[in-house]
Amino acid sequence: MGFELLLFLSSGLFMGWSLGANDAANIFGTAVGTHMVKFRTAAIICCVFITIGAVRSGSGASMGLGALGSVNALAGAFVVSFCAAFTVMWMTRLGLPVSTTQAIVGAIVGWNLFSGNPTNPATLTRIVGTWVYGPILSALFSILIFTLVRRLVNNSTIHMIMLDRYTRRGLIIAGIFGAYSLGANNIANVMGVFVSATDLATIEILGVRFTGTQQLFLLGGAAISVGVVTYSKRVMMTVGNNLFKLSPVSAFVVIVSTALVLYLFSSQELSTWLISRGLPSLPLVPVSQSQACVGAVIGISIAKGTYRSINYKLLGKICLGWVSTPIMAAILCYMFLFFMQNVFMQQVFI
Amino acid sequence: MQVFTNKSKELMDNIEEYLGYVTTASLHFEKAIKDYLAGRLDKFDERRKEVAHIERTADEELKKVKYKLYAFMLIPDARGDVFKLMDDLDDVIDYTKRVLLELSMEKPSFPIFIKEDIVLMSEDSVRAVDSLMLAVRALFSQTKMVEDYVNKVVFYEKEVDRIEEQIIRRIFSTSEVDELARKVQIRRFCERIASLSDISEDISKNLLIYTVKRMV
Repeated sequence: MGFELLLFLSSGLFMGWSLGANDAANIFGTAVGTHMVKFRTAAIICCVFITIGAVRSGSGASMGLGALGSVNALAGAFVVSFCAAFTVMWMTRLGLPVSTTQAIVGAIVGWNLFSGNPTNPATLTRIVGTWVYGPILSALFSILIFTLVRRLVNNSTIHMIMLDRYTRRGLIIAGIFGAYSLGANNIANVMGVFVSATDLATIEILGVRFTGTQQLFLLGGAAISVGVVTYSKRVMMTVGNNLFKLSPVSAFVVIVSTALVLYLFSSQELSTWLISRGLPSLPLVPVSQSQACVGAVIGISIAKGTYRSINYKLLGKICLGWVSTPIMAAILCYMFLFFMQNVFMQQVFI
Repeated sequence: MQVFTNKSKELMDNIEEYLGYVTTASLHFEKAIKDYLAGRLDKFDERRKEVAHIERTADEELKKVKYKLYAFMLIPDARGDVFKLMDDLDDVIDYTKRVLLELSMEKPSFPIFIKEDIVLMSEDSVRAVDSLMLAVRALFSQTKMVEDYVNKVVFYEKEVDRIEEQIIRRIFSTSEVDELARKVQIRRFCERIASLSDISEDISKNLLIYTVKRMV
């Protein structure tokens, strides 16, 4: 990989770092915050399985994003990724629960507008639809799983301390699934826009062949891992101790529900299986893990009958984010593409 | 990884052993009261020493339980409750030891007409402890049963209160015990024996809260 390529990929790598720092906390926040799982264990699981998920199953959601707008010039991909990352950073500073997925979609639409590439309304509707039914699906999974777990635990004669032990194991297994799904689904946000803009030759590392796309995803996985190792501990402690006061069993339900949603929206195998049986398949697009997580927590509140305590203000902010994040990213991207093309004299589309 | 070691089993064994000491101490207490009232002072003293020994061993076991709860970071969401419960149960053993020690030091003389009631009172007090221990074990592995056992604790506590009141009324209305100091001493010991069920009831009320918190 040349220096120029790495320079243009830097915005994607920054996005990856940010994803690792923040989204790993959605998987292991409660477990680490309550000392059910050591941070070292959580970090190793995240690094390994996010990368495996990204390399092995990342192409599905990435192609879904590509269908919206195939960014075909490296400088253009840099701007798209940079603007999405900048929007996320800005919205976070404003205290709005922002999703990298919504930012990257907005930025791609901005690129489409700038380059004259038509935005397929059906594709856009399909992607935007997942923002709404991703959290709803997560809430439904969470209600179902929580009800089952509650019935199992409350009617069993498992000793409290053994239950604690099983919960720890459950959290680790759910964490592995969560990390894999996060890598498979959200790598599209990190490296998806660079897929069409780069042309890397297939290489072989330790007897394993990596296509150009997989190399990008491996690099993205590495950036996410750096984010996990360097910054996620602080976020995990905040999630575990301050934001959501979840019991370890509830945390297990939230992780599994969120991971299931992410998996459904990224698994090509599942999609092929459903289509082969004439069943409707889910679109393979990146979905917001944080919002799926919020959906799962709401699902638990509903199952417990404590839905009156749901923070509707937060829900309102999330709905606001569905509109404001992509619009802001699109406007920002349009402006930056103009600068990149006319000030830095870079080709931002072909 | 800590999760794959057997610290959980170790802690479970420690807790079980500790709960066993509480039960044994209360059983010795009942027998010791009966020995004392029957005038078998040698046997009473043996039991008193046995309870003192159990109290020391239980303290050691309690230290292990507390250490393992925190050092191994086990049951984070229920750790505080289990810690407090174990501490409260220590009061039961301490109390049985203290009552027997005071009996051995003061050697109060109980009139024959209340001896049967004192035996009944100590039996019901120990039944309250017994039901409490069942409730504690249920908290760990069969939460749905806790309330049933707590109801039994409350029932025995009420029974003990009833017998206690009856004894005290009889003591203060009889002419068989003429000295006021003796009447007061007998009343104090009755209250002490009855207090075992009061302690059990207090702990059992907390258990209900722990149970609600434990339910998923």
